Amino acid sequence: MRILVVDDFVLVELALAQVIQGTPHTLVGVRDPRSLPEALAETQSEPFDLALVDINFGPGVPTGLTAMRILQDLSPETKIVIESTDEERNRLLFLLASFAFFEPLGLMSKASSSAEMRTLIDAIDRGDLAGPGLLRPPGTLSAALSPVQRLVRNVGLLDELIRNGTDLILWRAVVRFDKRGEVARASHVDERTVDRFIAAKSHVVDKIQAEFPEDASMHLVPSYQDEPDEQRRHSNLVRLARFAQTHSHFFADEAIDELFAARWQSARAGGPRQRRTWH
Amino acid sequence: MLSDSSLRTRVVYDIAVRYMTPLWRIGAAFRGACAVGLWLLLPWFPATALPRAAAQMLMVSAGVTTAWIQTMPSVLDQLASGRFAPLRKTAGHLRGARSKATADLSGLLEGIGMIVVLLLYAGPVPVRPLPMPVYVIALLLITAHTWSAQAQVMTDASWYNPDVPPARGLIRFRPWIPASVAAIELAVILSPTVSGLQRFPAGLVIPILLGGSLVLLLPFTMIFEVLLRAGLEACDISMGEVRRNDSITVHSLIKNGAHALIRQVQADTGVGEETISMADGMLVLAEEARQTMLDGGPPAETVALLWDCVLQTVPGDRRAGMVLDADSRNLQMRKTDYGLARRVLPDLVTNAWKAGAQRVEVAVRHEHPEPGGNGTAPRPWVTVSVDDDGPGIPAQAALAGPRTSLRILDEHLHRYDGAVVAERRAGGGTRVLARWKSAPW
Repeated sequence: MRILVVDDFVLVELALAQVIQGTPHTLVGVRDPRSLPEALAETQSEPFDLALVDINFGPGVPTGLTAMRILQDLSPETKIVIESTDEERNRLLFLLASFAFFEPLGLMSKASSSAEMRTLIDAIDRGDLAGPGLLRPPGTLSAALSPVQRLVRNVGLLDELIRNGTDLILWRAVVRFDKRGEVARASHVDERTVDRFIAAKSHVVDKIQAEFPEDASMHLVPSYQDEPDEQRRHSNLVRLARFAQTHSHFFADEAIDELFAARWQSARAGGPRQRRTWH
Repeated sequence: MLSDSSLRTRVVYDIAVRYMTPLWRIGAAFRGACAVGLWLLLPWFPATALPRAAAQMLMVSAGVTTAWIQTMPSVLDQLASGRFAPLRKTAGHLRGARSKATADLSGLLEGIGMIVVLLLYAGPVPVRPLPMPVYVIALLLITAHTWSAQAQVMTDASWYNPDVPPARGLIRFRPWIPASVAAIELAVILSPTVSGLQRFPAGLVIPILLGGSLVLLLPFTMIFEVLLRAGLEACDISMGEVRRNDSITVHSLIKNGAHALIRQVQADTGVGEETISMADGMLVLAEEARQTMLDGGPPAETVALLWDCVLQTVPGDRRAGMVLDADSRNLQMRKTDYGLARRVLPDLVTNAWKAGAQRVEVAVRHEHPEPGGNGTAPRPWVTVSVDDDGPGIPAQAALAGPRTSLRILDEHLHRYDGAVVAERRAGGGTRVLARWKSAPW
């Protein structure tokens, strides 16, 4: 199997090279998603079977979403596995987006042992998607969902979180402002739109909190229900602001504009959704 | 100055959005007070002119009322959910227009309305006779109202929006807004009156001074922008301070942890060379993290940066003998090459000083091979050489063992068609050469 590692840290590639030592697998590393078109063009005659894609490439560099989009466009036959650090607090929305817009086979923690990494790579090589960190095929869900299955089951939450371009603009404003009027002014919408946004998105954040209670970012965000209307609205806006600040890297990612725009356009045209949905 | 784009930054825009809410409210209240003052002057008007005066006051009164409502979200909410469709539409317009650089209903009503009011006191058909103090007070109120409205226009947040900058034409027109407004007011004041009417009871000096004062909106805005710039600089300095403090904290935490780890792995005889190297590498990463935090982003990946970081792995009393070749300092590396150099260099330098070398000379080079037959330039080689004056090692001895640090490096560099070579130097000491083909991606 030809494996592509898209990670800004060369040590990850060197470690993986040791993991696959003695196997027929080969490994090529790319440090920056922007280099992917060039790398894929050079290896066009021998496409990659598997790409291990990091999420975060540091400030000012496109994220793993861009990497996956390029892979999907230029090398659709390459299977994708996302690699991420468990400790990254802001990764939840990136992971949901990865499973919403693309079809990664699974998730590999950078904290995995060499044996676990090897097991995962071998499983993909065999076409067996039932291993740890991988998707199970439809119809074989067990009662206890794996982290990957939980992500896939909840990709709809991302659609609820960002329903249209205005939502995206509002989320970006909420990263920087936590007063109703300021959010409205910075987003060029009226306050009622902000109110509707607060009400709807607080509900979605509640759902995310319920589905991913272990997510570190959610611990900072208590829910406000028993306060008078105006106070509750403000408290919930502050709560959304904290959520947005935790995920500011996601909301600032230019890749999501393009990905969501294509998704909405496809939905308007009545076309198929960009990824499978299964329960 | 007012078309300077350096203030169109995220921080300045955020400040502007924040000051707009209170300033709009204060401004609307102030202009409302001006309008009330103008109404209070009407009892001094001739009885026959009162209907006309009241009619001419209506537009500006509607304007300031609308502007005040615009600052009251709860009133707008009530209007928007009311029974009357025109009110609902108006509320919708006021809400939408509030946050945009556009002429909204309140702005138009106030702007045109105040010219209409001015026509009561000046212009071709002013109301006469009126007591002189009434003229002066009216002109003062009209000018104060215009000052407030135009100050709001000149300092609107939309001038500083980095994402949706104002149209170029608007930016070019901005410095001319005060002069244009002053010109309109002066044109009304100085326009010829109908024959036989007294032009202005108090003479022309006061109205011209008041109308001309509107030009001062330009220096007012400039001073305002000086304050914004000062705020921006203060913010940058504070950010720098936060970065410095955080970098010290994070650096200290990681460095202390790394030193503890290094001590542990060195004491543990069962630990392999790769683990020891990676533990040493933590110090390099800690220093890089510090530099990244200080700069507010990843620093340029030059050999100079890498060398500064690598020196962190060397005890302080040995650093004086560690020398990086001057030509290597500014060499910019591709990300993969930088990562490989970051893996290679600490090992080679550590090996040298641990072997007793007092002086270690390091050079990093890009070597460009001749173009191939098809005219394409082959990838350059990256060469890292480490020369020391230590006791010297038997040639290739360090590469002979199965898991020596040089052997491990050699294996890593094979991935990039590279190798590590160690040799005795003629005058004593050792030269270790690590070489690999520059990675394209």
